[in-house]
Amino acid sequence: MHKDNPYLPSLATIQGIEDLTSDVRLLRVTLPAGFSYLPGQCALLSILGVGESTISITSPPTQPEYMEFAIKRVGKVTEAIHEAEVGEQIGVRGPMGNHFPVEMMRGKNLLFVGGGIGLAPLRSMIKYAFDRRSEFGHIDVIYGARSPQDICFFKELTESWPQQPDTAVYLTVDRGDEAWSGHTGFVPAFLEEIAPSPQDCLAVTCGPPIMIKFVLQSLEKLGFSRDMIYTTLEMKMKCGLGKCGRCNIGDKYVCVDGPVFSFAELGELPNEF
Amino acid sequence: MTELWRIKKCDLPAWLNIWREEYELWGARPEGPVMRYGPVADATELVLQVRTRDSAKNMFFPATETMFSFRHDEQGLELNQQLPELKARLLVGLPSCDLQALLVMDNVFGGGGHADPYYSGRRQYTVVVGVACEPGEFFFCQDFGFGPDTPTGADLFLWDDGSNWLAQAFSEAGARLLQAGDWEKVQATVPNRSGPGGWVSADSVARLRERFDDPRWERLGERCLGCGACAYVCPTCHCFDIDDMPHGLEGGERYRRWDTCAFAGFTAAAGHNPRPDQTGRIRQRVMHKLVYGDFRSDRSLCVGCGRCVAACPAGIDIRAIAREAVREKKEVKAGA
Repeated sequence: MHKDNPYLPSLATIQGIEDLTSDVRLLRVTLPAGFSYLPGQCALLSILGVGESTISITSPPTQPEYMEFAIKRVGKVTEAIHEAEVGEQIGVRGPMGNHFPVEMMRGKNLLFVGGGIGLAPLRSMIKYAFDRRSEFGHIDVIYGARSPQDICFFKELTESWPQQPDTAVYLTVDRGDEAWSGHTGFVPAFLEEIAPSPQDCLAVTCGPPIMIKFVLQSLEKLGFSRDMIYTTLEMKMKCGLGKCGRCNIGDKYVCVDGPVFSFAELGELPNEF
Repeated sequence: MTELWRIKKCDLPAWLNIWREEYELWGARPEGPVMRYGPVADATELVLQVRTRDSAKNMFFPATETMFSFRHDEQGLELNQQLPELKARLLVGLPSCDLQALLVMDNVFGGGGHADPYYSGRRQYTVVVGVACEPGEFFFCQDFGFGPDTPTGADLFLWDDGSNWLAQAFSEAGARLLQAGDWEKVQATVPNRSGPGGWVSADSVARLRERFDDPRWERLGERCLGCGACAYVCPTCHCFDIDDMPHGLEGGERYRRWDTCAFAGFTAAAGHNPRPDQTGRIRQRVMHKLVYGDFRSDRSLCVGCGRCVAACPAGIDIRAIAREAVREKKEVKAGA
């Protein structure tokens, strides 16, 4: 964050671009000086002349060389980010908001339940845990996408992550195709089928709002208490500083009090999101 | 008894004019048919104890402002912040509600660990003279724990004493202003009238919080036109949007402009709007003003100035919404 003007972005150079799906692109950028973050935090990315958009940081802070963002093409700013090329500069402000409860997660088993682009913020924490593997217990990753073509981070999910010690990765798609031999079905039902133990386990979920709603019910059925389930909210933001008012829900601003909340905390908020 | 300075009302403009060399004078004055705060060339133009249609927030937080400009060239991207020119300003005539609102805004823009350099720069160089108001229609300041004589937030405050003002300084800048005049010091009791109120109470706020799903919000949603006039005139509505204005291909500027939760696009992200209709939007506004408040400072985001009540073309009255929240639903008998 700029010392005297928190609205002024730092400049980062795009180092690498990878298409994760037909509409999700992974951007690797240089880490601006002094930018330090924890898993779950976001940044505001700018294409100057088009605008700014809040994107969660998908790389782990254990990676000191660069930062990564997985960006789904949904509006004019994300469209412009998709058009940017390697070597170009983009604006970065942040990090914004709180982070996953890393201290609380230490020593515990971790369950990650992701849907679609919702894997992006989880990936920062998953890779952080891999990089500091001895500090965490068993890791389960359950991930679903609409179709095999919509799976984000397919290579990591199928190749590198299952190779990690004491780690299991489960994939499902809403609808398969001829080539798909894996599980077909929605994430909440799949989660109940796998039935991870709530014992010493902290669950983190992110995905479409409807998925999160049913994942919460499934986790409660499995015996997870609401204070051991965390999620990260996606909400339109502009300033990222708790001033522009846009992300206000109840007594919270998502940009500074969130985006990470436990379900126990979300239960205290008015039911509008 | 407090030591106060007695200033003859007729001497006030000449005394304020002494300061024109050093300060740009601001206060309420007519713009056509409308009373607004703005700069004046001579203190005789100032109108005191008048209700302005708009608040004074535009003085510190203009409706639109450029935050920085940018240029693309061969070396890459260059950003240039455009901080406001720091002029010393003397703002004369804020009533107690607008002073309270200024304290709210100071916290919003100055707090949270990241000071807003645009707001803070202007605010820091402004000296504020408060004036006791003559409460009129729509006011309900007493519901927020202050009245028309409350000086909190002013550098200097003037109470009405017939043909004189009784003045007290609350800061060094305020004391310095007084020293320029040859005023008589008197021992007097500081006026402390209570203001209009009886609409918003701890009880009504608690009931509103409980009644998030009350069907009455739908009836308000039907009436609310989503025009944003309430937020425009409100002294504490601080929501804004940030956008880019390209100037050709080489550069442009990033600017901000007032925005409001009453507008449909306020929370609309691509493909999803958590508040898709006016019911949710009017509820958000009332809740943020009266129930949530500025939860960082525990200050209410409503100061009872009544401007939104006066401005609403649909006649929505935030005071009535609060009062109705505590009224039990009438039992309607079948056939009645």
